[in-house]
Amino acid sequence: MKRRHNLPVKLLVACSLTLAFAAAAGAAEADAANPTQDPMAFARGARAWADNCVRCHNNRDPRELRDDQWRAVMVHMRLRAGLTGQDTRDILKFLQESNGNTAMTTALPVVSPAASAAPDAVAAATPETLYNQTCVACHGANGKGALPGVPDLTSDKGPLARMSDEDLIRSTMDGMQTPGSAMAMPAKGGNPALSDEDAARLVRYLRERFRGE
Amino acid sequence: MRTIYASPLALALGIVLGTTIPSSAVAASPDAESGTTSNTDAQSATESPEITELRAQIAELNRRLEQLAQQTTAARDSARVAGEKADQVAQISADGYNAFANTRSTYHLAGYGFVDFVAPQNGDATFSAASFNPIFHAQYDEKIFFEGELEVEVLEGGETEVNLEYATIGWLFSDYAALVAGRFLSPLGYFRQNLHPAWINRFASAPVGFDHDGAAPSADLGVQIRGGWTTAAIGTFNYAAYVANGPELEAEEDVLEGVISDGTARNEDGNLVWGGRIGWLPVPTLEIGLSFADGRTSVTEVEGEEIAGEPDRDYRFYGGDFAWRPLPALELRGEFARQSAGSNAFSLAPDSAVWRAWYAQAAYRVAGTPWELVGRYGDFESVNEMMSTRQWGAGIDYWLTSSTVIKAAYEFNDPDLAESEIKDRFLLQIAHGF
Repeated sequence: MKRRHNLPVKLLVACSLTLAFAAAAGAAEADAANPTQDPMAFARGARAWADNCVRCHNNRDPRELRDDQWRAVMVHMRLRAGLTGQDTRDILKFLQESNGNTAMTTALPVVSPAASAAPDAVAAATPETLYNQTCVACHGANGKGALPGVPDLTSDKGPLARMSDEDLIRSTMDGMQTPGSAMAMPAKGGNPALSDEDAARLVRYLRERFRGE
Repeated sequence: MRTIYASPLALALGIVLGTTIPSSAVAASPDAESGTTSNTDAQSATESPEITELRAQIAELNRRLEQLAQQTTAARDSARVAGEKADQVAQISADGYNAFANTRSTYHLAGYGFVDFVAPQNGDATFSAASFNPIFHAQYDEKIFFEGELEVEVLEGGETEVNLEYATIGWLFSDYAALVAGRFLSPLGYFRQNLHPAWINRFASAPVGFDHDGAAPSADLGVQIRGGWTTAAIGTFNYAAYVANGPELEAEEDVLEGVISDGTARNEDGNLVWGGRIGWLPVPTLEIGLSFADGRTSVTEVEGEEIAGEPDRDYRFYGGDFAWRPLPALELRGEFARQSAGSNAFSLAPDSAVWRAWYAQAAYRVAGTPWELVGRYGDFESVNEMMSTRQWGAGIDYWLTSSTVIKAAYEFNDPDLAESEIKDRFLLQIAHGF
């Protein structure tokens, strides 16, 4: 009475072909997409982190885990969320450089091979570039906040209206926890290359861009 | 070292002394001019009391200077030793860090836990559940990944039950695909594979029909290929395609009652089930998914007793899901799932059966606060009418951290049968993900 269907056999053949194709594609891309010296990986990672984690849950604070722990977690998330390998590496770079282990990270090429490439490029960036590469992940292009709990930079009750330049610069450099936000802003916005001068220029730029000051 | 410090200071003091001592006194004391201390007694006899006192002061200063030099040397030695120890500690710390980080293998323990409190209408309020779900990750290079989750929970009688939620070995052979083998959460639909953990689910309970024994499969044992890719023109895609043992059926007397879809390690009907899901994100804030599965299944359990030899019958699943965040603080999502078993005249339970469920949910995070408001409507139609119900739910969440939440909710249930045990109830839950 048991009737055998040949659909699974067809599917297995299809999967085998897919496997072979994808393996070939993977081998080819391994040469083409080496993120080791990619100065934009951090910015892409910040964007991908903001876009993808909230598909299911709140964004986790990068400081919750060490570099090696994020390494395992990101593979788990790649499989669970259907991320590409490139997205996974970019988000991992963002998390590892935002969790306070930067000095260690840069010394560990296996864990974070691209850690040394971005800082120089970022340090030379304009405030607009700095914002669009890093801050935009959480604060959004319009400054109103891309994640729940992130303060509205355009609001009369927002930090730009309430805080002095000195306090804003200090908060940018030291990090801060906004009441009600699921996570704290990491020190230097997660960008280890950010200097006091960069933060000062950034604050002036934010006031002009979002408050018209 | 002592000489280095003492000699210049003594010389300086000598110069100062030379400029301080009256010239008449110096002239009367050739030894003092030369700086020697020979014939002290004779000098004492000829020197004035002032010069004698100065000599005593010089001697005392020399003694103190020597002490100071000794203390300085000791302090420098201590500083050097402390520096060496600090270097050693830093090296040990770095070695320890590298032992975790700079290796080909990485291990990590994640997971979640939760506690439930339920107060049903016309029933006894009860702390109804406590669960610990550890998830173990083991990674080798960037290509091999094992993960397994246990569900450890307390039963009504106080016993502890341990279940294997999933255990898979993944081979990430491409940036766009990974081969995953083992017992995995069913890739059909979205809630069961991604939203069911208590710290992720915004509501204090699963939607009707999306918990165990509902319309959405829980897990399966087989192999799948899953991954994603991005296009510049039309957005991002993710997918999963699988072949697995498939579900089994349970019957009550001569009627099909439920689908056993927890990932059995047998294939009674002799046919594999295949299927998958594809998700499309035209923009990052919107995801639309479609799922489908097809195969054969058979009855393996009648009134709680396992049986064998039942004839096989068609099995099919299809579903759709969406998630949309029109505002950063507002999340809308919904899902539809339908699974069916065909008829077979030679079976103990010959008739076909359908299990169908859908839900829609809105969650709004109140700006600047840890509060979140949640509303949900769901409908579950089961061949077992005692399980069929429509449900409204309203809840409020308080987020202690990004992965720790206290949830309060009330469910308004409208079961198909008045004698159904599904009643309105108040729920409290605290959940933490780690």
